[in-house]
Amino acid sequence: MIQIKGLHKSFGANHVLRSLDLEIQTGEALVIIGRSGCGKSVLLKQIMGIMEPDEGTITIDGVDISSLSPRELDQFRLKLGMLFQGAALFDSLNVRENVGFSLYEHTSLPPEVIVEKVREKLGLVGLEGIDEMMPSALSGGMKKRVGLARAIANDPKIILYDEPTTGLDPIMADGINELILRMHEKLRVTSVTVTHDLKSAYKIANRIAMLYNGKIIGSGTPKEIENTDHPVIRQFITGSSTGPITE
Amino acid sequence: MWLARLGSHSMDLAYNTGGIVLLLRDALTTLFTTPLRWHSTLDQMNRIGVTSLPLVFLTALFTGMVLSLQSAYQLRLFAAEQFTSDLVALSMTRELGPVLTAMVVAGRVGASIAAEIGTMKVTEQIDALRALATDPVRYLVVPRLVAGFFMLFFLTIYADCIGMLGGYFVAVFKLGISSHQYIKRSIDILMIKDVMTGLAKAFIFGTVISIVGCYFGFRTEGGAEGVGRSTTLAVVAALILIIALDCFFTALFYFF
Repeated sequence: MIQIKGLHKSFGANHVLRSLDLEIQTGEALVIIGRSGCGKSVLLKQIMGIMEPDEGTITIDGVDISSLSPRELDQFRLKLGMLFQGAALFDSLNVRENVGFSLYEHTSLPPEVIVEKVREKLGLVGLEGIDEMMPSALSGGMKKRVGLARAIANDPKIILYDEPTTGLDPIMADGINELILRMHEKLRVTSVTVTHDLKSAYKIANRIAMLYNGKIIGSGTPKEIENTDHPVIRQFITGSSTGPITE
Repeated sequence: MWLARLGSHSMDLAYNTGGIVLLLRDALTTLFTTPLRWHSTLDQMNRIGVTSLPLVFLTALFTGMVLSLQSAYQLRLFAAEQFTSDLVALSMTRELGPVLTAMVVAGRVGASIAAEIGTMKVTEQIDALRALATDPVRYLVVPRLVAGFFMLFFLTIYADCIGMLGGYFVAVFKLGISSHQYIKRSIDILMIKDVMTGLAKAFIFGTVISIVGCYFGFRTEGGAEGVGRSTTLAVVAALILIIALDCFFTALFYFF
């Protein structure tokens, strides 16, 4: 379970997260929605432990990640996987080296076993025979799939997705949604996705939470969110230019 | 208005100096507490050292030739052209070898380090490294620091030799100084201390180029424009630091 309590984060005068509280149950598929720049990615990076909060605590499976030393935090991060918005593949490494990165770095597995594991993970995301290709030769959708294969290479218990469908055409975006659903079912992981793509949110979530003004202002099942009376959530999901968000 | 700008620039200078020192501290701590990534370090040695050889060759050769000509021009007034070799040898080993090599490498390699790390920063590859439980300082900074430290040393020895060779060509084939006399005087005038002071500077300049490039790379914000800005800042900061440290160490070696 992930427990976030009283989280604050500022960038200069911009107070992005303001005493944010959130609980994510084990095995849950939570989608956090909100406007661009509202702090969704910042929240995800803080859960991952790659950005420090100004105040507040994040506890994952009973461990307060702010109490860990840098080395302990590195070890702890291996339990998590993250798909970045632009996939963030390492330019200088090929697909095999990207996907197998944490296995090469943090395990003593023989190279042939790593190659096998990389092929297995690439197979899970529907990519085969591209092991030796460089990221620059891949399309946007392929990059996201390779990024996802890299995120699951270590068999993490929690997968974080940062805007997984941004920049993709609708068909490719739906393919990624299917993939996220399949990962959730097959690997039985907790998944946390941040997005402003509502179609994607309705499809992959079993709970949707909305981040607004640095706080979670409401959450519920996709059905509950679709039928909510909350004026801010209503304006966001209907995409109206008039309402409390723009007033 | 100008006072506010001065204050702002001073704050930036203090902030960046502090940041560079802290990054150097982290890199040295990591270097001495974790195993070195040999493959990556050798790759950086190739990029920083081997690929800089042609540029260092040309710079040192022409500098040696010009130095020889200018020295002879002055020394001729005192009928002391035979001292040309002394001047070339001392100037190259004590000063021009390390400083010019550092400047060439700062422009070529410092910029490339800042651009590479800066691009990784804006495309979230640095965050991805952390997410994959890998310390960016160990993965990116330490190999470049070690490579810069050692390769500037070897490049400076190379530049010293090529510079003296350039001086030799001009002195022997243009100024009529005998080959034997030129070589003998060059060897006689050079003391171990002269060579060592130049090479000590080379170690320091190599460290400066790598750490400054990495620091401005890590500080990059805001896409392609940010990468361009970081690259420029890395080169400018490295050049200023090289000249300032050269002045400091020349004075230090002169008095002690």
